[in-house]
Amino acid sequence: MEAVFLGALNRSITAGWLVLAVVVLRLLLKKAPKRITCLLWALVAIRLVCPFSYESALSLIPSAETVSPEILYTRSPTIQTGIPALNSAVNPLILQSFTPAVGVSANPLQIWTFLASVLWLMGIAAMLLYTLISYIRLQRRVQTAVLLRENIWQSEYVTSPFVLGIICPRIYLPFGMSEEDMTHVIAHEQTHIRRRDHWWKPLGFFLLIVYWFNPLLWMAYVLLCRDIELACDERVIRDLGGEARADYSATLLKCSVSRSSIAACPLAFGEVGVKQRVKNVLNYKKPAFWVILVAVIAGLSVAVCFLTDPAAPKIADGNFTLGDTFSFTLEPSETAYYPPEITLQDDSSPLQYTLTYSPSDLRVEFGLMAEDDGTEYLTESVGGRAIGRIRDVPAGKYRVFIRSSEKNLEYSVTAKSLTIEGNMAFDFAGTIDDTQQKARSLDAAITAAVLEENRDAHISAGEFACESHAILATEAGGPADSNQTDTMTVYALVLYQRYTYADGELAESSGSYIPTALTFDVSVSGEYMLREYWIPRDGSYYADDIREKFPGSSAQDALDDQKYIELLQKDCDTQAQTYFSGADVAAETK
Amino acid sequence: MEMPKIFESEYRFCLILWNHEPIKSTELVKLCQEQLGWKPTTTYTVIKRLSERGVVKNEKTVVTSLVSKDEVQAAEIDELVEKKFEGSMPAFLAAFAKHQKLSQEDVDAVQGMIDQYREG
Repeated sequence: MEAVFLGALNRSITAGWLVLAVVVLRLLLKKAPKRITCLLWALVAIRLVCPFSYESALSLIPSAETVSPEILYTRSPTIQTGIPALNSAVNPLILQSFTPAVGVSANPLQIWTFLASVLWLMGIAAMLLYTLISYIRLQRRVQTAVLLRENIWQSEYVTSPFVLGIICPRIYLPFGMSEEDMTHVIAHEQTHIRRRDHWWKPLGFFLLIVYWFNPLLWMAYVLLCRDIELACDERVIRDLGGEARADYSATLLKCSVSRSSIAACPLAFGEVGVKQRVKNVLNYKKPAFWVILVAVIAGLSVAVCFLTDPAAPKIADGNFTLGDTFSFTLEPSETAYYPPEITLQDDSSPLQYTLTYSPSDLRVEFGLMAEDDGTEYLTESVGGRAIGRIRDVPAGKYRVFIRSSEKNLEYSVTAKSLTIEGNMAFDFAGTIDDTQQKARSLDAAITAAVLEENRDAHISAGEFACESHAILATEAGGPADSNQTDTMTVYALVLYQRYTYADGELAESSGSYIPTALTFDVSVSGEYMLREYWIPRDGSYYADDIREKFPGSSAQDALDDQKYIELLQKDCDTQAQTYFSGADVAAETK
Repeated sequence: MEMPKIFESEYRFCLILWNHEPIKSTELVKLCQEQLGWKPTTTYTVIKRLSERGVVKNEKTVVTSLVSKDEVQAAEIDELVEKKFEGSMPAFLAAFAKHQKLSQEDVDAVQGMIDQYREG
């Protein structure tokens, strides 16, 4: 449901841009037939209804997806409005308020979005209910209307003439209208029906109900109603002479009602902007051909520029697509470059980018490096998150770099939006993750400990010793003694194996397969120092010892000597094979 | 007598009733359909409403009126004179004569009415 809501939100934002464009165009095209203005509003409707669109370089929409659904799941929520100034104003606030705290399961943004979705649906329900009730009440009031002729009815409850009904539209008039007034009014309402306005207006209102939260759309609807009336007037008086037009505007005035309600169904005669309409009628001149032409061209341009979405960023280099994740390792003091090249065309605009990483106490440098002369524009960061802004970067080719001189790092970068040509801002979120490294070094520490433990006994020349282990459980613990460093206990199944190699044949010489518990001191810099190496006693004590030492269900796994043995055996075999074939090669090259 | 209020469309209904009463409700429905374009439910609703107001009577599906056309017209004029001419009938008639074009026959008819009024 949240995805639907976000989709609607994004569509209404893009439609909002189009509405602004239409409003501007409307002011400029005052002389043009209002028919064309109505078509422009149709474009807005299309934008609201169609979830997809063509991409085009001519698009003037700042961003097709301002609020990405990913925002609910990412560690660093941001929005892409497509306007750099707006982005840099809003995103820091969003990051500040909505970044999910590490370790907390509930993402605040998810909760807010859920609430917003519910509110949205409730708004729609309320408006639908209101519309339905109004329609039924109106129907009931004109129930006793008397048929005049064809589909024209009269009722004492009608103050101002209108059209009601979508499938079988009826014209409702008040009693006691003069012949002349009736002629004009009937002509007007019949023109409405011919232009199918009794379909368009409810359709527009229905769209308004769905997207009720966007104030620009309310304005669009009001203007649409106005333009529909004006277009209808134009059509009616097109064939009337000058004097008849004066009479028509007199009728307009007589029937004018000062109603400020926004109703969907009745196309009331005097409802909208009477002053404007009278002015329009009296000043009406058949528009010159070139005026119509200009208006049509303007309309088409607006359609192309605002119905199409901004083109996906052109990548100058590199073989990735937006959303890909990269991971690679950094050796200390090594610099990693974000794959694609960036070409900046324009000097002026400040660049902004966002980077998040963990652990947060890591000091990281990142920024842009110019390809040609290696000048760096960098930001230093400690604290897990950085929003960098670089000003006055001259045009040219750049690479994005990330480095940390402190430790081995593995990091991943996800591209959120990246524009290469032009001076638009780019955002990317990356995480520098140390956990892989930690895991690797833990494994390494275990391997080292196992090999060390088994080292003494009779290793002869040409024998290769290796180990493989499967971690069943880990337990973090507080400081073991006055050391003040934390400890970690690993419960694993350890296979220790020795091999010999003769005449191209691999043979196992000895080994052991034992559940083992290793306790390490963990230093601040992430190093593991072995503190205790525990194995169960033999014979009848074996099972009890394991059950006592190993936590939870890992004891069961430890006692199951079939579960991991194949895997570990294979691993050791491979290690041995690699070792001996390397030796073989070395021997050959001697 | 307090004249119950009759709205314009209801008045058209009453015209039909006055011309055909007493009349079976089903036939009345048919006439209203032809002349007014009303659905049967509408006609029945109006019959019910007017009988509540004391304008018509519906006994065993036969509909009759409780007020006559004359009475209704007279009441309308009274109300009009009261509201718009401060209760002065002469003022109303003067305005009427000034505004409407009366033919010779109309003038004679009115004169005859006045004479009759004087005598009886």
